Amino acid sequence: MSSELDTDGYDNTPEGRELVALLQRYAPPAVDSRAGAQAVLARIGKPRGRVLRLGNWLPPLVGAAAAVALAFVIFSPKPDTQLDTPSPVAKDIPAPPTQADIRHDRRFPEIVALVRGASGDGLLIDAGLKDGLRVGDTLSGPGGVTARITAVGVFESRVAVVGGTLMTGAELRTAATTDAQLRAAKFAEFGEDPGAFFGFGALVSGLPLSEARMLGISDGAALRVDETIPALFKDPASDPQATLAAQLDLRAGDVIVEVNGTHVRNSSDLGQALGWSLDPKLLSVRVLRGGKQLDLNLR
Amino acid sequence: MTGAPDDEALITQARRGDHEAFRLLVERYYRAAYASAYAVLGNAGDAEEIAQETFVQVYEKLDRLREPGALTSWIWRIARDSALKYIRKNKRIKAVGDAPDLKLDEERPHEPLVATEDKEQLMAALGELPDDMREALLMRYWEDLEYEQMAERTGVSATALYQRVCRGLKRLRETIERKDALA
Repeated sequence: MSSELDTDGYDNTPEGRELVALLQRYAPPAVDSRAGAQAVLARIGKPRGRVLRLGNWLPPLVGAAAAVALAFVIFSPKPDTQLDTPSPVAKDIPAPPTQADIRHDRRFPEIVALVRGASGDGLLIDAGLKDGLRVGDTLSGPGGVTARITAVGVFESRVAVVGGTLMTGAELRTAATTDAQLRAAKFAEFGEDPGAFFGFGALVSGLPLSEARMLGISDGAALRVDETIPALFKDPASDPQATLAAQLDLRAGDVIVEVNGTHVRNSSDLGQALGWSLDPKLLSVRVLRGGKQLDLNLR
Repeated sequence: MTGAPDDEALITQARRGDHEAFRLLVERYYRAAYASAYAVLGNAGDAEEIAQETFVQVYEKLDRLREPGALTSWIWRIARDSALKYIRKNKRIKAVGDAPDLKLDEERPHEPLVATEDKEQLMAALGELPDDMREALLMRYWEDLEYEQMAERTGVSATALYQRVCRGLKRLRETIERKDALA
């Protein structure tokens, strides 16, 4: 099996082997997956279904039950002797929701970023494209300070600060409201395919079958470009660079039909077709735009 | 090959309330969640706590998972995000100095990493890798999976995963060298 794979790559160079050894040296201690699974099941406790669907109702129910219990405690006559029997009401009250639960139920998830230090003529924060942040988005900091994103990377962004100063470690927040932010949040929360190819510079999603057929795509499967990322920095110390998608002049609304001659049906196909090991200068993308077929390439 | 039910079947059963199916899923990916959290926290006890929390979240949101094929990357992501939140909550924030004005010398000859063989530095460098590279490296070297096993799990070809691992190692080295130059 493994012998079919040509493993004559960087991992087999002296440098590569050294890094492999480093990784293996600091590998986490062994863990017992079975015991872990048992612990998870113990934490889950109750069966799925009704309990989970009641999730949104639990906080008010808990509040009401707690009020009833409190009234019961306050207004009930005091017994002459202390009984050890626990209150049947109190016993059935679920644990009150934690702050984390309440935050989880927010309609709009919140993006929280930390200031990591200076970057170029601004500050570097630890959230970027993967969190749905884009150039122009703003976040709020302590003391009414606002931070506006001037450049993005996949994991980090550069911000310009308005209305004060920010120290390393300061928290910046914003509610996830833009399409990109909600899309990122959905992936983080629910595992929905984000269709994100940030290194390439595009976000894509599956084309509805009816549209694909109307466009004459025989098997009815193709990807539409939802967004292109004009530029991003790969190293926060350097300036952003135009993405391959931007260099190709790929545009939102384009339907990707082929990449390097390979028909692309879904995100997985696109990831494989892009390959990343290919020489970008040889990249060729066939799209449908405005009813016309175009071949985009960098050469 | 092994006759073990695939993820999709287990997810379907778990959604119907089958705890045994969910237990199998947890067992299958527990080390992945643990490794992902450990890469952020560097602490086995905390990483295990986060791994368990990850699966509690997975269980609660399983109905919303539209693409069973995304399960693995979803688990990696939840574990990583949960670990980052855990750090923030516990204020274990390390002040980061000014960003470097540094250009990497692509032609620099290979220098031993002896001076930088430091766990914290490795963890920090891992944290800067793109998700797909970090996952590939951790699957290969922390979970000790073969490329075929990784391919089965992720739906990405073994060849592409091998390339991802090699690129991840290269990127890791660049990051460590950059941080080393700053030290």
